[in-house]
Parts: sequence; structure tokens; C-alpha cells
Amino acid sequence: MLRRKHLELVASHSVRHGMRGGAGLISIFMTLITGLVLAQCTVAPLELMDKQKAKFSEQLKAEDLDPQMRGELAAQQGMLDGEVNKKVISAARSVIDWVVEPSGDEQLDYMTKERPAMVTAFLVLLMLFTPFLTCLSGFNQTSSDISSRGLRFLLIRTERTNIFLGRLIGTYLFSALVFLLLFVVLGMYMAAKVHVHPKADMIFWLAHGYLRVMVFVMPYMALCAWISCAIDSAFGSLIISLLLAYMYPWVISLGSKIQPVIAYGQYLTPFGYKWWLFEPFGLKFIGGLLIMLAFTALLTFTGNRYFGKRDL
Amino acid sequence: MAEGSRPGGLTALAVLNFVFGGLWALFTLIGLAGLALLNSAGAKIDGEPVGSQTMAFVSLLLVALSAFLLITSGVGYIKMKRFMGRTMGTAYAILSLGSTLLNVLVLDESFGIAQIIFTIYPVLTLIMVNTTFSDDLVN
Repeated sequence: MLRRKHLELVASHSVRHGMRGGAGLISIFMTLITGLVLAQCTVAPLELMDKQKAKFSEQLKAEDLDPQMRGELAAQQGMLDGEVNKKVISAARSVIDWVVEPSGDEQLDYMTKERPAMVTAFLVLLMLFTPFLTCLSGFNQTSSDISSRGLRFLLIRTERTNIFLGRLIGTYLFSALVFLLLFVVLGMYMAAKVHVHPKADMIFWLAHGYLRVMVFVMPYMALCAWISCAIDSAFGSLIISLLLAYMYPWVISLGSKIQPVIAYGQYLTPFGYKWWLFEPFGLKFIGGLLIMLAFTALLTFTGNRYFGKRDL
Repeated sequence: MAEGSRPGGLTALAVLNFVFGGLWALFTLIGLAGLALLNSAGAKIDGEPVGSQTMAFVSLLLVALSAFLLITSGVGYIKMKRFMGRTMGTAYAILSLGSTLLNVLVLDESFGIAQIIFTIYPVLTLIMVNTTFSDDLVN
């Protein structure tokens, strides 16, 4: 039987004590590092151009520069100013085209022309790593407490469903806070340093991206909850969650190169629908949202059922 | 607090300290070797720039000190010691943040995402050692 107070208590305890467990610390560290490294990959060309521009203006300041050289440097600086936007957008477009394999020009235009292309490139790269980061934060929801028999203290105080769902909600909220921290840091950095797109557009699209990433996190968090309650070893739970999250899509991707029909197999997991969340607002986008919710509900139901029956 | 009740996060923090401490120690050795090589080559060339060598030496000293503080505080976390864990960990975090600031201000390095990446671990250490694990590091 679900009890709201118990659920709140288990979830809030899980969030507050997330940091005290090794999994929480590793999750924060890896999410921030991975996110910032991916952001660095997309921002690096821009930083390089900024450095080049600073070098030109420093050279232009030199008083003993002959007029011809001064003219050439000024021309180069002006050209660089004009080229920055074009180069960054075309680089972002090629990254998105390569990673997403968009369903059509409409989606590619939406991601690169209607929205800040550089932010989209970062979000697209982050989506590929989201299952990995989710597994890192969600692998130890119940497994180590089951193996240490520590969960038995909770079993006499509330129903198993409250423990399972409370831990799942708590870990999801913890993960949402960690991703929020990453997005806030990036938002501040982009607002201060990136001048290719309007600031408001970048912040708005980052906020949208955050919500879309958090929708994609849901089914993987539910998968981790199921695996974590089924296996008594936290490390084993991490490995199996990661294998399920990445091995299947990888095998399908390899198989589809031999027989294209196999590519349809990707629609058996949430990984196959991830780019639907980056469609323009419409039927496909709503479909993507509903499918993520359906996968989450299915995995949560299965995990909860198993946790309710197993020997603890 | 009993030795056996060390939180998992503190153990993870200690392991990360050993990993980073080991890496920093390795960088110090490589840097020292590089500096010695440059010195022996510089002896043959007149007008060797003294200032840049001093800066390189100061940077190496900071890296070596960071390595020492990381490894010592790692042992402190494992033993849940107040001075060796909390104080040394805080000292490492302040030193590391200070050297990043030094790089940006003195060496005129532009502030980018790479600098933010280098501040993550010291900031995490500073916060966790002084809030989350402050009641554990009491021995």
C-alpha cells in the first residue's frame, strides 16, 4: 500500500544522503566532468577564434607597426569576426547531422537555425552519454542495502512499494539536481563568453534541453531501480545496467549495417526514441514524451513487482 | 565515530585523492626531468630566459605540494582523522583553487571551460570535507 508520508520520507532521505554514499559522489563528479568536457568540445573552436582575435588586437596596438601590416591585420580581424558565426554554425550542423541522422531537413533546420546550433551540438552529445551518467547515479538504489541486510530495518517500518518508489524518486531528484548544476554552470559560462548566438536564446534552449534530457533520464533510472533490487552487488548492478543501456543499441547498430531491417530493433528500447525529444513541437515530440513515460512506467512496475516478491 | 562506519562517499573521495595524487606526483617527476633537460641544453646557449624557468619551477612546486596534500589527506579520509583529513583536504582545495586563479591572473591565461574542469574536484573536496563529512573526520 502506498503511503504518501512514507514515500516522502524515503525519497527525501535518499536525496539528502546521496552525497554520503560513494555512488552520489562519483555521479556528481562524472556528470560535471563529462558535461564540461563535451561542452569544451563544442566551444573549443570558438575559444580558439577568440584567442586569435585577441592576438590580432594586441598586434594592432603596437605603435611601431608599419601601415601596410596594420591594414592587413585589421582586415584579417574583420574577416574573423564575420567568419565566426558561419564557421561555428556549420561545425555544429555537421556534428548534429552526423550524430542524430535527422529524420529530415525540418528537424535539422529546427536544431540548427531555429535554435542556437552550438547549444544543440552540446545537448546532442550529452544525450549519447545520458544513459551512462544515469546508470552511474542510479545503480545503487537498493543493491548494497540488500547485500548488507541493512534494508531489513526499513522493512519492518513500511511497505516494500514505499521503499522501492521512494528510493527511485529520491535518486531521480538527486540526478536532476546534479544535471541542473551542470546546466547552470554552462548557462553562466555561455552567457559570459559565447557571443555567437543571443544570450536569451542560448539560456532558453539550454533550459529546454535540460527538461528533455531529464525526460530521457526517467526510463534509465527505472531500469537501474529494477536491476539494483534484483542484484545483491552494487558493482554487478552497475555493470548490468550499463550493458543493457549500451550493448543492445550497439549490437542493433552493428546488425543494421549488415541487414537494414535490423535497425527497427532499436525501437524496443528508449535509446531508439531519444531524438524524437528533439523534434519541433508536434505529434512526434509528444509521441517521444509518451513513449519515455510508458517505458518508465513499465520498468518501474516490473521492478516494483520483483522487489515485492524477492527474499530480502 | 567507529572506524568501521566510514561512509562510502568518504572512501570514494580517498580513492579519487590517491588517483589524482599519483597523477600529480608523476607530472612532477616528468616536469623535473624536463626542467633538468632544458637546463643542460640552456647551459650551452647564451641569454637563457631566467624568469620563465622560475615560473616553471614555481608551477612544479605547486603541483608537488598538491600531490603531497592529496595523498596525505587521502590517508586522513581512510583513517577519518581531523587534521590529516579535514585540514589537509581543505588546504589542498585552497591551494588548487589558488593556483588556478594564479594561472588566470598572473600568467594571463584566458578563463575557459578547462579552468572550470580543474576547479571541480577542489570545490567538491572543500564542500564535502567541511559539510557532508565534517562529523566523520573527528579522530
